Amino acid sequence: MVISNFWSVDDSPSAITFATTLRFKTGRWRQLRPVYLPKAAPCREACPAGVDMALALEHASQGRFAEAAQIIRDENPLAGVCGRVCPHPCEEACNRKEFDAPLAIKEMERFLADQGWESAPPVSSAARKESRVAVVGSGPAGLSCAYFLSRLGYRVTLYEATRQLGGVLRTGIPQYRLPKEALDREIRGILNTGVQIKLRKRLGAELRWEELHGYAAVFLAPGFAESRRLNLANEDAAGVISGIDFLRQVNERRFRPLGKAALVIGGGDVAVDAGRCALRQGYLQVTIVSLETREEMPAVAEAVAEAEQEGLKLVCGAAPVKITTRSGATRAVEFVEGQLTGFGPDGQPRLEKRPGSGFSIPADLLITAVGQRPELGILPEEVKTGPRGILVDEWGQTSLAGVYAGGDVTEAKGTVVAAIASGKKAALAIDRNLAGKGAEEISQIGVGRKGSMSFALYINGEEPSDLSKVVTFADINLDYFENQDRLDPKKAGSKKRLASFAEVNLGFGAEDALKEGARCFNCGHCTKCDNCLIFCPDMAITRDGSVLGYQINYDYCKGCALCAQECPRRVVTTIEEQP
Amino acid sequence: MNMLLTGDHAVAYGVKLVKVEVIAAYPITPQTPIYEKLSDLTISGELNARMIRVESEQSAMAACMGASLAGARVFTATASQGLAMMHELLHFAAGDRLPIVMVNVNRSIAAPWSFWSDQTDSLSQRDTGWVQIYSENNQEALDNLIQAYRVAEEVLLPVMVVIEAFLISHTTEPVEMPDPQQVDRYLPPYSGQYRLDVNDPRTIGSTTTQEQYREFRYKMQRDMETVKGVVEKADREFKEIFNRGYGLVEEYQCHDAQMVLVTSGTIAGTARDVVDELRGKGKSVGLVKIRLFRPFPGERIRQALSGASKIAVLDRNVSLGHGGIFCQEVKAALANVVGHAPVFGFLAGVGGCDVSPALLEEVVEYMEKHTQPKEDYIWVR
Amino acid sequence: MKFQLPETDLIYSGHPACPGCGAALALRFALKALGTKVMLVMPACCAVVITGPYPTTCMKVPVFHTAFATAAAVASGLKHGLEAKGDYETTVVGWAGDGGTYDIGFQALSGAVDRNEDFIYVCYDNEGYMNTGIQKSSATPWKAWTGTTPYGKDMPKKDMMEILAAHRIPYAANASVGFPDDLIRKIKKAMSIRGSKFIHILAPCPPGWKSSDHLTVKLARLAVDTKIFPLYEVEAGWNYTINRVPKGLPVEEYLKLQGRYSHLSEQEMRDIQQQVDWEWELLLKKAGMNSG
Repeated sequence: MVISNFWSVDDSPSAITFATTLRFKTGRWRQLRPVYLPKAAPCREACPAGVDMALALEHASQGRFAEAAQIIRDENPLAGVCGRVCPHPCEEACNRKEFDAPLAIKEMERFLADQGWESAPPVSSAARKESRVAVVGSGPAGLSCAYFLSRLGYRVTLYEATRQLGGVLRTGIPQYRLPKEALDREIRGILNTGVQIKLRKRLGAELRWEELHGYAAVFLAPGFAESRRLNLANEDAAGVISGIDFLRQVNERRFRPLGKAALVIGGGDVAVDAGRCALRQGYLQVTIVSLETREEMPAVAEAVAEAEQEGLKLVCGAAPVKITTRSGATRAVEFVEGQLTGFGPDGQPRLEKRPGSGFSIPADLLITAVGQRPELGILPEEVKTGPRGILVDEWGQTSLAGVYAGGDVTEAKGTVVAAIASGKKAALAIDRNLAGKGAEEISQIGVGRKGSMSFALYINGEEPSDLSKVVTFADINLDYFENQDRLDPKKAGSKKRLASFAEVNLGFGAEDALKEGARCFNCGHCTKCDNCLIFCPDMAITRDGSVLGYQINYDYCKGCALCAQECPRRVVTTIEEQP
Repeated sequence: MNMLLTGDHAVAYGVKLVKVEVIAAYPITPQTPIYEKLSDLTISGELNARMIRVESEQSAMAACMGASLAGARVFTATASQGLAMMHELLHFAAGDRLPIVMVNVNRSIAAPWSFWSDQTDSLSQRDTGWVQIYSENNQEALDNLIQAYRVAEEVLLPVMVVIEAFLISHTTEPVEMPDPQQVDRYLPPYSGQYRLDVNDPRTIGSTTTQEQYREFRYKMQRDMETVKGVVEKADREFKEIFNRGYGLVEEYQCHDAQMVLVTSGTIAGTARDVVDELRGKGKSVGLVKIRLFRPFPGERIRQALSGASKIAVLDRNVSLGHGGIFCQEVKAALANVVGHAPVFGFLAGVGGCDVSPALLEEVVEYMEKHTQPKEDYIWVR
Repeated sequence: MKFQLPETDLIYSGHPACPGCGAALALRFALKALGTKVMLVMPACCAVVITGPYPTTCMKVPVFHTAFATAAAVASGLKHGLEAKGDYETTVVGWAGDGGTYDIGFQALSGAVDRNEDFIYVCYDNEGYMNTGIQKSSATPWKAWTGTTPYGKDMPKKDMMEILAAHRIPYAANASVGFPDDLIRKIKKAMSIRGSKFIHILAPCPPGWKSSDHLTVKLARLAVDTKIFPLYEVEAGWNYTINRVPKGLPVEEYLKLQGRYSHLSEQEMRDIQQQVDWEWELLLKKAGMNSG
């Protein structure tokens, strides 16, 4: 029996503390482990170029426009172009859509891109590589590929068939949508990364295939060479012109208008642009006839609405059956109503015609804008092609080793941003292949599940993020956001528009950008709001100098997950603790 | 300086002399003259203390605890029901080792309502860790109060000075008022060793394990044992300055007495006269007055009673089911003394009934007639 | 939006509060405002456990653990004692749960604020005796399950703010751990006022409310935005200010996240809604006194 066994380390007569609770590692109770894991915003997933707008808009909302622009250019060197002409699938995906209205992402992108390239990313000399890569074609795919390759340190030679860079961006998009200055600014920025250019080098003519043999890799992006035909009689009559030729002539100020009535056949952006250009060229009656219904038309809806404001007439669900001429020049086109049922393997539409529904529309100028096709005959046999273009895998690799292709020359979807994405992916694949690795190894830089890639993640190496996870609307803690109307930019009045080719969309000013930028949920991107730190009942979260900005002390984190719940934008998530 | 004072007022002047800084109180008969007098003294500025006029005795003790935690010298007074209401806080004050001094005016405890002197209220608190000192008269009430602060602040345990309803509280007697400067010399300011301090932040009174709790109880018991020496020293030094002393127990005519009366409080004064009276009649009678009840001075009592052949303990209280409480304690103190004298337990003065000299003489006669008590306790009137 | 709160924390990690504890959050936020020149008096309540077992403490300021009924009285004495020793600066805070405030400590609180003692009394309200394992207090809301109200409490929650306001104390305020900036502002305001201040903080309790650990803050916000626990303050007993216009969400949004209400019928939900609406109208009338 122990009569007295007292161990007091403290002489105080009553229970007066002399130690802290830090000795209790209450983290042992934890069943859920919170982790900081930045994720992809749905806009980024939806953007084929994978632009990180959630991060860019955080900078923008704080007035750091140059930083914001740089973040965009890390994924897309043609932001000023996309900010004008992209159909912005990002806005369709925006989580804010379910709260009040999606962010005006496209307008933000345009505003930020227009802030200039002052902070163009330098390519360090250490990163310079000896390998030379050829890029054929200077449209969006070629420019994109050249830019990303150059940033990866390659010596890039960019071949262009004409005297000016830009491809379809210069010739195919009217200036009231994409002013020359905006395009030139982007091209200058891309060239400043160290891209060599060779103009007037058309593949199969001035540029022979053999000349490309000296390059470690080749990226083919010559775009479309020819327009699809209507396959009607009199299609070669005077006054008939393809949409792409018409736009090129207008852009090069070579078009000579004749007559009063212009008719455009087609439902895509080229058709709408052609119609609007015709209005600006002085045609008093301009009609677009589209096979598709209004909802099915591939043209950007906003542009269609603008065109109608300007006086253009739109007829949907009809197909041309006859071009009538007088003295070898077009006079009118006869149509029959019907329903589009699909496209043939060669891209030709199939129509179920409604008998007896014919009508005629006068046409002093007939613009055919029913699609274009690449010229594939100049390619060596080893580069396999399909009916609509070069066959490539998802990284742009053709059937010939070392040769990649992107943009309209492939069977890809024909938007500018898709072309940009194809150039970027090919650049990434070229880099990995020249480094002796397979393209599949770069799958961890994928953004979401729709094929977008993060170039920033690729060059910055491992970052504690999981861009394969996309933040949903349910993930957003709405308590930290208030409803606010979406800002939309002013547009020039329709009369004023028709007087020139000045840009219709007047864009955002700095105040608009600050205000609209602040609406962004910044899905999946930590804005250092401190909520996680503030609402931790266990003081287990502290700020640190890391990329994430915070650190969790798992000695004390009990796993209540308040940090995850109170994270407004689902940066903090929890995982089951392994026993 | 001599003053004619009631016991309550003597206490109030004692509070002034020891320069109490915070007082918290709630009125209850027969404590109210203390409360009122202290109100006068603080409002007039004679006593520079803060008076918290709380809404209950529980809060009175709680407020004293708070003030004591700030390092202040504190005081409260109560009686009977009030003391009972404080019960939980008495444990807290002792367990937190706060040197609070309280005067309890013994008053019979309800039900039924009654107002007269009965020690059961304070004795019911004997296990709370408070030092208990019982006073015989107004002078001792005052002197005990001054000594109580010396004891409390040295051992860091609270001290209850007990006086009796009306017999002391409202009875006017001449009281020698100590010189304030001499009191200052006797009682230095309280250092507040274990107070709350924003510059040394600690938590007081946290939850403990069984082992830790046992350790703190051990320390309290150990320190309670030292109280006897501390009380004796405080009394001795008090006597050196003020020429009055009381001891833990007072032995009166005990050295050769065959029959010894053991009692406390005001009954002791009466008993002293009865001893003189009976000694005059040739009876061998002595008196032991117990002044310090907690901690219980068992050794001193065994010494005082070592020559007695019969012992009578007179209790102005009753532990229902086991008789007089002083008697139980005396019996327990003697339990291991082989062949000790028989102990007669008399319940005298319960409820404030008068304990007259005649009654005490009857008690002595009873002892003379009986070799052994027939009952464990004997009701007398 | 971003909360701008004082940086310093005066609590150590490792305290034994349950995961997701609202009371621990309340303590953390309040101390951010109170700073180091403060002493806390805690009666029996969860905070006693949270501060840590002897010989440890999670508190970086002095704390005294007292008897259940006595927080306000000890705080009174402590403040007087400090002033008696010449310290007029240190803030004294009574830190009590709802049981120690609404029930057993109510007499001492009423007495102390009647004397207009110079302290801040904080009731962190988890709406029941949670430390003892979920029993009903007079702060338990109408129809809520507890271990002693197995079919739901039959009476509404006692209106403690009104009772304190009726003492005509200088300042009384409702706060919620869901709105830490408001909570901290109120504590700071209380520190600037002499006399008795009452701060009533709603502190959700995952085990007691049978809610998920991670919903503590959400519930604290929902209580406000359903008008069940409006954020308001009362100066001098009559000057009412509503600090946040509730979103007016249906009470069901709040109740359905808590297992203690899982037994409610749709009719009972409507009854609670009606009661809450009525109380809110009453509060609006009182706040109207302000402008009228």
